Amino acid sequence: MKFINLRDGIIVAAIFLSALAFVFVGNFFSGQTAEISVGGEVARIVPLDKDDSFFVGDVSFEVKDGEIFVTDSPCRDKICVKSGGIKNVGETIICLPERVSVRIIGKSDSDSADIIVG
Amino acid sequence: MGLLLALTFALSAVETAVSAGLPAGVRIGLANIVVMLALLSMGKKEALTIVVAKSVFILITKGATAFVLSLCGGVSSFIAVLLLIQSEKNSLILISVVGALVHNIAQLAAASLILKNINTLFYAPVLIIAGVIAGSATGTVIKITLPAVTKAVNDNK
Repeated sequence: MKFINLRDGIIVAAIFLSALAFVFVGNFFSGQTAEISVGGEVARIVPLDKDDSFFVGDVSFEVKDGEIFVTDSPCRDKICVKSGGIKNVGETIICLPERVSVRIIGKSDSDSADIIVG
Repeated sequence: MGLLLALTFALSAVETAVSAGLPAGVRIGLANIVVMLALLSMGKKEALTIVVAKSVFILITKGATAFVLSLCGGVSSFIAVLLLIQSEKNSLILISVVGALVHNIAQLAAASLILKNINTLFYAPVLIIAGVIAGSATGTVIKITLPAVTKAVNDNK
């Protein structure tokens, strides 16, 4: 059989490009959410598609451009503030002294896969 | 045949080692090269034997879940390739790429079922991209090695 021909070349390229497009578009409309927990319990669920700023306890947050930052905290080292912004599923910011943790969760209610096999 | 089986196991081991450094589920399909070579030079019974043998090998080395995934991917891919081969109009690269894609998507679907988590399917675009690249690579390898393999098979008949 032939190794490659025009029709198949176009088919393969089309598949490749549409998958690529999916990845880019998907990232745009992600509308991901951040889950803020205090002392191990979920305190607030924040959608990341709207810019916002608010307090959870004494820690102040800001949501901007799909990312969430800790803008201020009464803790001593301010590691949480220096952590910068997170936006991808699984990323976290933690403030130990304040016992606050922020985690990005996927679009729907259920968590993303808990185990990866293969 | 024995040589190809040994090659399958070796390639499977290499792929497992390499995939430790890659995003989960990205299959480079090294072992698929052997399956296709067997199919094109020996026939579907031999090729299917290799698919099953590979999955059993994975069962022994990586466990039950990986076995199910491998079998799902391998058999689905095998069927797809078998169908495509029927028509002369299909080029090797199409067959390799489709084989890789079907393998990946079938595994993804199986993984989603096992984890009972539909979110896993969001991984599909990434797998498709990887599948196209992998399929192209394996297709190229097959083009290069097939003449030699067919000759070896025929000489030994």
